[in-house]
Amino acid sequence: MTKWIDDSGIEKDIVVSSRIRYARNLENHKFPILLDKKEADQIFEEVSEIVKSKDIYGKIFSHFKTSDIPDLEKNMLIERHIISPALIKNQGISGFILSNDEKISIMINEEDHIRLQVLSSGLNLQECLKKADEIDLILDERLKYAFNKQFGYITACPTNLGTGIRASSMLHLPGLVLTGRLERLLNTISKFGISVRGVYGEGSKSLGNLFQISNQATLGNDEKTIVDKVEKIAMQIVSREKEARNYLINENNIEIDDKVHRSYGVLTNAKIISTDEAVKLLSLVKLGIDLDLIDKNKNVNFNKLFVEIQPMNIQFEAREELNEKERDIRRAEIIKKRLKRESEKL
Amino acid sequence: MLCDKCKKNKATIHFTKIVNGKKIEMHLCKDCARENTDINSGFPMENFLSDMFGEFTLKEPNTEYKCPNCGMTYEQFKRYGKFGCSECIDTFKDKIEPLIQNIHGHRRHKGKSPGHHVVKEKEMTEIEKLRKELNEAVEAENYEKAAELRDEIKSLEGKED
Repeated sequence: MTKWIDDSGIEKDIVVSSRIRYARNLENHKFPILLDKKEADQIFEEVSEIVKSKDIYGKIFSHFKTSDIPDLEKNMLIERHIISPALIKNQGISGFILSNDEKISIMINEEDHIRLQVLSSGLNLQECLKKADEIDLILDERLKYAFNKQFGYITACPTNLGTGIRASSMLHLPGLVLTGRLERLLNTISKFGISVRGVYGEGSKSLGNLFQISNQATLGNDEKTIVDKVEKIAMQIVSREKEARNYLINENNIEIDDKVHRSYGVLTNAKIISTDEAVKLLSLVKLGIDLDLIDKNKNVNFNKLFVEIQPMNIQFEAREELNEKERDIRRAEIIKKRLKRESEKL
Repeated sequence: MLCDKCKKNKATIHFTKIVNGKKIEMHLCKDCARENTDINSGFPMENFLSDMFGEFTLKEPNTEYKCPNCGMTYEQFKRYGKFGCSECIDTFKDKIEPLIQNIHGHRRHKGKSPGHHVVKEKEMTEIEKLRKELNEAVEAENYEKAAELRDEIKSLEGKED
């Protein structure tokens, strides 16, 4: 499960994933907000036909109408960052096309007619951009994209006008959080037109120390300039995170060692655990492994584990609806199995 | 604290977004948060945006603005924060340019163009293209760019002579 997170890629200890998204619309159809089912289905078929007729990196694609998918599965796909809540909100008219490795997805009739997304593990924005551009070109050959010389690609929302590109990267930053350096760094970053948000929880108080950075503006700079900027900022943050981790090890060793091992102790012994607590503690255990404070569990894919312990993913794997308490019990079991199983191998 | 949206349940989810140093907070209950947030933005951008329209767009009420292609009125656009079709942007251009400038810090696209547009562009001669760009630059009050374009046209015209 969670195939697109394969624990490979550049700076993978800190950079969880990279993503390029293009928002596109068609000139001869009303935008999703005014779209009726018949016209919406027509757009779905058009895009679907193109994907079926072309070889796209030799990948196999599945084509879905959102309304055909059970609720549980839809919510699980959201937790895996593959589809968006807006797609489900539009489920009367929306659909999506997903590659077998889950790295390429095309959402249809979400906020825009087309949302093309290319995902990758690690810091890999240039490769994502290259792939997104190639697929964009394949679609462009057969569709008439809505475009205006002044405002570029016309998107449903003015915030995406111009290039329609959103370049983002998910970063694990426990060092910056624990040293109290994050807040100031985030303020500086926002001055460069980059927005930052917590992946779980809110703002700089994000649970699990996971943050997503992305470009704010989409109009006025070309695609490469935008992507280069996000990548440069991501690399800057990575080097600051490394500095913070060195500081923790050199100046604060016993405290950080204690924090890491306490977290490890709870995770490997808990019988019932909430998502929030699990995410928080897993982040510290991952830090401990990255810093060689824990010598077991080197092969655990934490980026994957973060997703696997989310409520819908637990239910999906269990193949049944579970209440909160049942999920919390199941979550403790999953974590214990993953962490212990790896240590037993050694 | 009660939820900002439904005003019934206790707010358990708190959003903070900092845009250009300005802090915006939102407090929601679990249900409303689920309905209103987009996992890709983590923030109920839609409502936030329609609130901002009042701040940045021209104030005078004008019911005449209606997209001839899809029928969306300017009032509707303001409410949804979304265009109804590819023509809306031309219809509401005068009113929304300041907003676009505010969001992006620019009002002209730079970057790639779709195939059908590129073909159309190629049919124009270089000078025609520059003249068109010059007019657009003047319209957009980008006088620096206009001066550059004027010089470029002059030098090309000189060559033709």
